[in-house]
Amino acid sequence: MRSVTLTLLILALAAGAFSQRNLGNVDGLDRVIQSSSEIRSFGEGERKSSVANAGDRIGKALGIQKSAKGLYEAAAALSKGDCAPDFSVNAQAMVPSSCSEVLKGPAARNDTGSGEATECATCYENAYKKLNDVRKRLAKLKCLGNSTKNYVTAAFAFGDSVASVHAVQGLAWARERKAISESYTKFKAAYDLKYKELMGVLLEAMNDVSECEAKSGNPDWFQRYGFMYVEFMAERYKRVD
Amino acid sequence: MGFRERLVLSFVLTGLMLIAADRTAAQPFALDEKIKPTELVLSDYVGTDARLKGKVAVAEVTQKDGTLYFFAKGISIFSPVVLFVETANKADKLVVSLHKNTWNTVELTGETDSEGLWSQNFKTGGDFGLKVSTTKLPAKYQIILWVGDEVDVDMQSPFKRPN
Repeated sequence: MRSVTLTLLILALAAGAFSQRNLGNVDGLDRVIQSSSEIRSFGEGERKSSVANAGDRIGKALGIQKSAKGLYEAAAALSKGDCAPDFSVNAQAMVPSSCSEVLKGPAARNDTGSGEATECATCYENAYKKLNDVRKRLAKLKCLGNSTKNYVTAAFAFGDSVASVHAVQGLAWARERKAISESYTKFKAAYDLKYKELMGVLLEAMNDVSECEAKSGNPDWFQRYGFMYVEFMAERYKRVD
Repeated sequence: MGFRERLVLSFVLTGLMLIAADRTAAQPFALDEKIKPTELVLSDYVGTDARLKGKVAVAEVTQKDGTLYFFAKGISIFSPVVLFVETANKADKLVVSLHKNTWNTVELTGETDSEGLWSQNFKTGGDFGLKVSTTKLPAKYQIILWVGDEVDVDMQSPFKRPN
């Protein structure tokens, strides 16, 4: 328990240090003065007119889109470095399923014609949901890893170029560079922990699928097939440097 | 402490570590101490249009300096983002730019139109910076940032028919 307390303390200190360094003059109040300018921020429930105006504006931006998904798909990434989540599956990593409802995809499983899901589809439902959920979380982790790496690379490139020209800023940059480097090392360790945790969830989901396959007369499905997909995912989402 | 509690605690700790570590990139990088960006704080948006479920930040600004800096953080790569900058006086021209990793690299730029409006929809993960510049001071305007709930992205199924 002492080690847990110590870890929490280190994390709290770390978080505090980052906050102080990065949050600038944001004081948590609605009203912020940036230099001599005045900025008033409103959230939902405050200044209804401002927020209602926001709703009108956003509604117009969505236009004829039936859902936000259409807007999302039409939108471009802000930066060239922004990650595009990749949910494709290598042909060698695909695994056989004896449940035809699963092969038709989630939409088909929700519309079985008779209004009732088949027995195999019912068995797969939770495993499939768990699997897709963890695939999304792994993709987010990978994107977070990419964006953090891009940030550190860009900050180093910018800081190094400025420091080579301005001696005074060079001293400040040396301290900043060390701080960024240290926090990136911590980030990488945190990434590896999260990766391990999520791969554990993926393994659970694939074992759930294996149990469904066993009920359909396919014992040892995981040992024969399931592991191939797990290995593929482990390779795709591991931190590369 | 039982196994389950240890597991939950380890999940929480890992999450905290990632949040703490991710603070590194909470806003575009700057060495210039004069650049002190203001956070556009997102809060839940509750409206009648179901398509708009998500978070919103609204800021009313009276700009008395040539350039102001803003940033938003905690954005999911699976969320649509829409950003508006609208002047109170349509004749006022604002130059707007969006930044990702450093303030000296511009990802997108534009200026308010004849209606006093500039808008952009995009997707990004984590954070981004917004820079607003003007030569006519003071300039009054409103910033509206909307970040939709995560959408259900299409995923290729890992399952195939048995050989």
